[in-house]
Amino acid sequence: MKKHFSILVLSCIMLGCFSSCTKEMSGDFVSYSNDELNDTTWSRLVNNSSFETALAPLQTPSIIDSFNSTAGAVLSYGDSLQVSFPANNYVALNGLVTGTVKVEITVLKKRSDFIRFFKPTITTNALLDAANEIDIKLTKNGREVFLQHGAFIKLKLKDILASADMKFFVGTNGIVNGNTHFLWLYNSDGKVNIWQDTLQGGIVRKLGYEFVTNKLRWFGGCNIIDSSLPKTRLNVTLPLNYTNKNTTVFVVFKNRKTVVALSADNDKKLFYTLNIPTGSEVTLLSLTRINNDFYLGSKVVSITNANAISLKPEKKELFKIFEFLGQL
Amino acid sequence: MKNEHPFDSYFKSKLQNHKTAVPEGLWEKIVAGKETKKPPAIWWKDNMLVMTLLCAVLLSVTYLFTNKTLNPLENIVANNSTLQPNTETPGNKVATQKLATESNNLENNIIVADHQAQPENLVSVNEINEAGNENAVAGSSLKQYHPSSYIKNNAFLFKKKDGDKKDDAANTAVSDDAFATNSSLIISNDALLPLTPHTQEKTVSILSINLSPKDLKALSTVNKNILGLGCPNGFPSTWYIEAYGSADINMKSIYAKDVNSTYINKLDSTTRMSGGFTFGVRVSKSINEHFLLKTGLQYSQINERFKTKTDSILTITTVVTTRTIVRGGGQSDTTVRDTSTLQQIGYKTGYVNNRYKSIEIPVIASYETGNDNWRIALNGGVIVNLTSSYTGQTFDTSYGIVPLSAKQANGFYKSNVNLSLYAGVSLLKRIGNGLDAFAEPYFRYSLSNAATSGAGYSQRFNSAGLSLGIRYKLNRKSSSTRD
Repeated sequence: MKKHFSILVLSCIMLGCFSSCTKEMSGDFVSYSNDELNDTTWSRLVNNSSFETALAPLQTPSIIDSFNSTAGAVLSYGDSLQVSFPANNYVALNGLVTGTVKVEITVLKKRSDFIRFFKPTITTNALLDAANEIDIKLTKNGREVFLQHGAFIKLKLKDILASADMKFFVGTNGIVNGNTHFLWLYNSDGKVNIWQDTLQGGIVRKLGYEFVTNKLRWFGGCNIIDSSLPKTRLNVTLPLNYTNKNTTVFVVFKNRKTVVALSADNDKKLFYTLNIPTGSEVTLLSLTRINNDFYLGSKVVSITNANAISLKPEKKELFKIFEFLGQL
Repeated sequence: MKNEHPFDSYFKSKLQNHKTAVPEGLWEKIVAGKETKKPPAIWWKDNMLVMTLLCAVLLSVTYLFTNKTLNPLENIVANNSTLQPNTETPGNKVATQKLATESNNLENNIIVADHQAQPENLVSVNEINEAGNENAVAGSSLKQYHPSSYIKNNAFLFKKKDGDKKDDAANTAVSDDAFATNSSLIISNDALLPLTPHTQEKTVSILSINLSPKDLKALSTVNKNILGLGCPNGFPSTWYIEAYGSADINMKSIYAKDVNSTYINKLDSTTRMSGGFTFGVRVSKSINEHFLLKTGLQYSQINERFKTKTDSILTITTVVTTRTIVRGGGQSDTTVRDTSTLQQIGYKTGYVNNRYKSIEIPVIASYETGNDNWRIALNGGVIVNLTSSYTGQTFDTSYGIVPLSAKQANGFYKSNVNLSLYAGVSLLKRIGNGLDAFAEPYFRYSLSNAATSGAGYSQRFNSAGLSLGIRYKLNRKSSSTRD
């Protein structure tokens, strides 16, 4: 009987223990199939325009104005910018344009401007040291307006650091390292000169740049970096969530106004660029937009070799990213 | 009397004053033997918790039954002030007679105790000694009276009052009428119990009870089975203790009060009953050969699986990525291992075990029949819920997760005392001396809401299960029912 009773008591204890167990059963995690964060694949066809759209909140407002295309005009904005439009030299796809024309002017002066507008300072297989880049867009009733052949506009832009080495470049989309990038191409139809005036006593004062061009939209002054230092490839890796579909990586040079957008290596799943001068002090910067969240990764490094440099982006509010870019 | 047969006279002269010598120290031995008999419950003295619970239940049941008229004989015995304790006094005479039975080879002791008895009035009689005495009724007469084999080999002594010397003692058959006319009757408590083949030793104590004719009539008409009058289940009743456990299948019914059907459907789709269990201890007392009353204490737990879905869960997994780095410039490619993190967003389905715990008191009546090895019982009664507690989670009408608790301030459920009907069938199998194993499929139907929620609905739980347990007979030595 004692044996039976022992079994009974033991059974009761076991049942008591079982009943007192309050373990919560964990469930299964199911990832959203249509969420951008869960998409870790890389794409060979990356539409930069979508990324520019993503960066639009970071862009500073353009100057929006208008003038009489028939009479022409000189539009001045303080003492930093002056644009002279000729008279009766405007056409659209449906013919001559007369009357009031809407003008939108965007000026890129700082390194952060090139990032915000996604306009890296590169040309085909070369890096550029940029001066200032300008975008002038004319429209009439929503339709884009162009200058007639042989007509020129003159733009004076204040820049006390203006360099006489700058050449006239126009911006366009092209292929760099197998990726589609916005790049700058040398154009001999336009000119970039030093804007200066003569003070009393014959003293010449450098005010900035003076651009003369018969092409609207993106143009500016750039200089191809001709470094005598050896060059290397730059490889940058990020966590798996950051792909070329949602992330772009920039290299911002410390001592020159050069901003390079890295290309995507879809096979290796990393970002890279070529022709980085060895020993360059740069800031590696990654900008990511996933869903409606922005992520910023940065690292200040000296480029010495092609070893991979990893960035670890963090989620940031947009104004925090804006502040960070302003310090570049 | 004067025309006695010479043969009778001869035996009378030889045996009239014959007294059987009582061995010295016999009564002390008997008393000592009784005192050393440990009640079965003493085996559990080491387990105070069980003993406490058991005692509480036993006391409750004892109180319940001792304050009820369950059998007329109890009234008779209880109201009879002349019932004398079976203690040895100088006036008592103790006679011992060993009787070897033919069938069972049992040893039966006959003890006669009468405070009023005079030495000359006390005679030990057995089947061999049929000569009798004026004041004695022979055991052979009893044998004639009792057709039942239960007391086949027992001897009873009936002592008449002084002065009642007219009764023919030796060969007079005792009848109901004779019982009714006797004003003094010597009854053995143990004689009320039938002797089963399992009984190894029987000690018969004969007491003196003064019964009125009315009591005797009630005694003979209401329960003719006393004194072995054909009933194998006389008093005292048999006590059992049962320990059992069961796996339950539970069914839940939700009754909406102030909530819409969408909420009820949502609640129904996110919860699934996942069984439960019950275990407990109960004591049972036989009130006759077939009927038993049972009560005790049991713990019941109903398990429910609550499925939750939490959206926008961000998981971060550390991963090691191996990449081949193209270095260019005439340098060979290199492989690097990069440790980074992988973030994923999604939803998480959680499962929480909701538990509805109850401490209950079953009150069950049972009808039992069968043989010594196998018995079957029909059980029915009520289960009273004493207290309940709940753990787990559910959601409120705004579909927010809330704790399933009757104790916390923001508890969703409120404890509610309730009542359930119980029905079951037991199949019992003898597995040892006084020990049965039983299986009892049962069903319980809730009569009231088991839990009332603050969200405007209530729910009931009905259960079906199979109890498995053991039953131990507590008063094996003195009981007349199955050992």
